[in-house]
Amino acid sequence: MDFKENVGDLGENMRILRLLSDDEFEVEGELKIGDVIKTSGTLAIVLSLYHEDSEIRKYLGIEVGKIEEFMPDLSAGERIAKCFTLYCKELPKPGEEVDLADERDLRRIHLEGNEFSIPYLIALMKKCRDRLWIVRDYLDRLMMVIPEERGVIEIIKAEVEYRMLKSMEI
Amino acid sequence: MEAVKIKAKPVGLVKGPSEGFDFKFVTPDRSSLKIGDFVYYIHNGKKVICRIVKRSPLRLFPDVYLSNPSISPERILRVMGISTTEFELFEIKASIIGYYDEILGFVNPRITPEPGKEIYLAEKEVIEESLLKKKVGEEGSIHLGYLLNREDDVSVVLDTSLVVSEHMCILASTGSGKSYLAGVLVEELLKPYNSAAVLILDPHSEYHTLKEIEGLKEYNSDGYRAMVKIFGKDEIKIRLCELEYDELINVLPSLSDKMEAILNVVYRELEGEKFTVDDLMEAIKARAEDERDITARALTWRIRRYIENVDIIDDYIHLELKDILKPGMAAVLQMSEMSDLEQQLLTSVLLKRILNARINAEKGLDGEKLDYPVFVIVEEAHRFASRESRSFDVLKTILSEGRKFGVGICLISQRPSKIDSDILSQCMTQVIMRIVNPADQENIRASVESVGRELIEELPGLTKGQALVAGVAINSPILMRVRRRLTSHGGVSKNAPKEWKKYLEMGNIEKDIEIPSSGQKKLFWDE
Repeated sequence: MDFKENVGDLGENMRILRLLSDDEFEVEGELKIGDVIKTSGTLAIVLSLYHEDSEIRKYLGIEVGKIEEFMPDLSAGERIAKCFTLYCKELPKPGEEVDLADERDLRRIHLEGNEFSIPYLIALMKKCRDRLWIVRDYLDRLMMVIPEERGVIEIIKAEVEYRMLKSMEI
Repeated sequence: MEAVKIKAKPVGLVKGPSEGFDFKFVTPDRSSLKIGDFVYYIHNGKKVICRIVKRSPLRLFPDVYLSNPSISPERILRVMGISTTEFELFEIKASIIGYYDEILGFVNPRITPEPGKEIYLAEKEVIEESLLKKKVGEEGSIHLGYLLNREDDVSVVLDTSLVVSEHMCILASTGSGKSYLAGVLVEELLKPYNSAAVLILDPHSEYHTLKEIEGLKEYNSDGYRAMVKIFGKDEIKIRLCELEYDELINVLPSLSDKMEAILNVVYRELEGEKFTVDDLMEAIKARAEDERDITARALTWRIRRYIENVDIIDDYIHLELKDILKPGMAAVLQMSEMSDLEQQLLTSVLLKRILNARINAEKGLDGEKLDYPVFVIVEEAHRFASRESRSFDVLKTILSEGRKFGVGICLISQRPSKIDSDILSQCMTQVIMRIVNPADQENIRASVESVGRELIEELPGLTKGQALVAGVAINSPILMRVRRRLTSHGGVSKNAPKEWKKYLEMGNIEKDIEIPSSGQKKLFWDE
């Protein structure tokens, strides 16, 4: 299956900023934690956000406040989303366009080979060790997208919730 | 030095040592390695036999994976992209018995196998050669059944001479098949390769079906013909003069100190003679101060009232030992119609006579003699082997000293905790079937040294006809299923609903009670 053909239209406002590793990259754009995004060969989930000042603001340093008074359109910088790859056919390239994945995309990658699977789950849980709620919310979404596998996902979600409780030492 | 060539495939690999002489190995086997079964590894060219004592999965699924019965835990693992291989492995704890040496018996190498060593399932020949002292059909063998865990019939055979000389017990809850097993035991003892002299004390009269032996071809060959004699209550008699003083006292209730003193003196005077009830009463009267001596009159009244009431006590007739104990013959003494007192008196008197007859024969003394060893099966042994029983002392003597004189005892009981532990511990071959009662399990654990804790824990899990065999007549404790009997079983439980239905089908239906026309049933005080 050619992933490019099946991921649908890619957005124009978001793009790959940089690759951090073989399974992590950063996207510049208005995303929130838990969003699932797609590139031409990748499906990924947003795990954290941070703000990065524009180059000019860095250059102006502390004087930036005064300059803003008469240059209100001075670039404030960008919101950067750190993403973790869930599915990868081809590593994304910096500058590549990014879009939000829809239900169709999620169903397709999870039901590939006619058998439901979440092969990235362990790695994702490891990545989110201190923020397992991201995994839990993501599983909730999967339950809605793939209702026929609700039973299995519910059991996995229960295990995730148990680990959340355990980590709090209740 | 790996001198032994193994054709079989290994079933597992050693993981590491456990406590003592136990070790653990890992296997993918799902069905053939069962608790109680035997495996071996090679040490210095010898097959070291080990018993499987525990089996558990190497990895357990998280509990939540088992929360939905329609979704298998393996499927959840597959969904997460995890291989199920590790969950399909089992960790098995095995206890080293040792390698078998014909002279030394089992020799423990006193070293656990190194990690990674191959483990093999013990083949039929390995088990028969190392765990059993005898082979099926060999002279002096008792083929009781087959190894419990094996599909192929690996025979369990005991050594008859050790069973007889060092005694045996069959312990089991009611309905576990102990009298069935005892039937198998008698069948084996009467086979031409044993030709035993067997006496069965049968309080429930359930061994009469052994009579069928006489018609079976296995028992009629080359001039040998096994016999089974059944003795009913009317044929079983013991002479008054054979009762010990204490037994005599036990028959007579509420004796005053004075009465006991008189009886003691009279008994000592008559002891050794073949006295009758009349002789006893005459002797008491002779000692009385005058005819109106109340104590003497009360004592003679009691003798007439109670001794004459005990049917099995007779002045002249008694069972001849040679009529009930002969090689190639089993005598069944049916005691179901006897009172507890009569049963205990009979057991006590007979066993004493048997022991004395064997001592006389062995030492060349005068008196009644039995020139061959005998084997006595005591059913419901808790009635006869508890400290309160009248037959306790003689049983204790035989169990501790009978070995020297060839008097073997097999105690059968459903309440081992009621059997005195000194007696039970003298039964050196034990066949233990399903036992649920914790007190009975504890008593077995305390009395039976050769059965380990792990095997005792198996007892509640055994089903009908399955047994744990341990002791001197076998090289190592084993779990067994009892072989099919050649004769029918006399102790089958009643099928009550079937019998009720049969009764009604035979036309035994009561007529409806007629209600008077007034609609009011007439009551007895109206009549």
